[in-house]
Amino acid sequence: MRRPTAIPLAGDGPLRSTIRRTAVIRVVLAATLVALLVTEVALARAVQPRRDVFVPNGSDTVVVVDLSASIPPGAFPTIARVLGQLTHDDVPIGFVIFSDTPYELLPPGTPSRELAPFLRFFTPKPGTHPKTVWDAKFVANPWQQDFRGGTHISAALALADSILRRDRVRRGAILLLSDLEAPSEDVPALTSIVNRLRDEHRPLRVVGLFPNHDSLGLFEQLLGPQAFVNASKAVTLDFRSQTALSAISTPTGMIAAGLGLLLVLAWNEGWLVRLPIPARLRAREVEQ
Amino acid sequence: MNRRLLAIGLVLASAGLLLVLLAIDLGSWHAAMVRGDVRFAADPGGRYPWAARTVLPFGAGERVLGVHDDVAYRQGVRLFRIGRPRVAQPRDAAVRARSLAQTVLTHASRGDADLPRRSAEANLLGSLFLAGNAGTTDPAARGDFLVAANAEYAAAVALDPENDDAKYNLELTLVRRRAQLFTDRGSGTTPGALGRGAGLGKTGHGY
Repeated sequence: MRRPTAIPLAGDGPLRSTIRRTAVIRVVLAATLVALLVTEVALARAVQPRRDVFVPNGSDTVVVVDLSASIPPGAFPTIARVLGQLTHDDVPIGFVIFSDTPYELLPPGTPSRELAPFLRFFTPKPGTHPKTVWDAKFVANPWQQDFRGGTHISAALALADSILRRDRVRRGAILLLSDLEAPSEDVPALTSIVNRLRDEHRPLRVVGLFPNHDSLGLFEQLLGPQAFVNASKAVTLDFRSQTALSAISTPTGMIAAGLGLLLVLAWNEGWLVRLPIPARLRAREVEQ
Repeated sequence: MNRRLLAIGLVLASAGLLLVLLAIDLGSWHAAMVRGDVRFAADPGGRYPWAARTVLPFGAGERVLGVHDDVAYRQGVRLFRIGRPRVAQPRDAAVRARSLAQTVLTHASRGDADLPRRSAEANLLGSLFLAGNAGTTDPAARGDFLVAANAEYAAAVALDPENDDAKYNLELTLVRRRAQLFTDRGSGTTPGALGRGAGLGKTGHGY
């Protein structure tokens, strides 16, 4: 379709400032549109569901698992699901378990598929078909006899932090799986280590293993609600159908950029549209 | 020309409005601080008393007035008080208040430009660790708490040599550390190996 030719003006003096203003607005709007479009694409590319649920993208994460006496076997499937997801994602991890004392099972940088041998300790015995997680039977694990005692979370986090520093991991993060039952005498040390992790810009994420209200409140106060990965609500025994634990958070930035894009487009269409010249007038001009 | 004047007028009017709103926020902050101090003195365990009702977003009034460190110090003292540091076995709410006080005071004591107040913040932090020391029976944890308290009190004295509370607390922790070292040395050794004092030697064969 051919665009109608513009009507030549004899003198554009009175319109010059309007033309300049329109040109400036047009350029600004075009630049804003391009910027918003680029932002939208960049934000869309950054949204990577699943992988970002437990561990920050591109990080080397130390997985810290609480095996104290207060962790019921009913919480084992949650542990299995988190470890299974990490095994599937094949990301670099470290592995620490703790009760009264923590110890390092795998150093940072280990491929997460190395977690696979540990899964059997947290998975119900093969051939059993329990109705709920609380009826499930598990194979004996090496920690159940002598290792399981109190919950010393501060020592476990301090160990995770120290091994990340020992191995000079630049983008280190910590994923804590615990019932968060920190005794009151551990809270000052816990507060200190959490403050230190925050100062070091080291992300700490938490999967609560059926924490009680008070423990949850303390950790929410220490870390903020965004640190929690909600796995406890998704406990089922069907691992094949439940590989993903938690949905990604709402991409608010992307939504905002999209709305901005629509707004600027609407503004562009409303203000800078060509003046419609009726066909009757155009025909008269051609005749003249 | 008229349009240009109109635009300049609009800009000036907006700036004036902004300044008026800022002045209102500054007044709100001043009132909130004065009123909050009175409320806190009357009811230290009550609701947060230094909340200012502001109009401008992003804490503009607070930034211009530079009251952030004043508020942080007050909040630290309030939480310290709610944490009931003299109670050896605090309830959950007090434990959480202590934890929050520790976080607030740690940050405040790092960035505060007012040295005497920074010293006071370090002194309160030391007292929180001392409270932790009193609340545990684990010898290793007791030792850690004493070391942490000692470090905070020493920092408080270094920041403000006229802080008598910090000096007293520092002396107290030094005495306790000595006592604890003595206790640990006594309980951690085998019988008969404590030293050469009277009645501490190995049982002899005699006649």
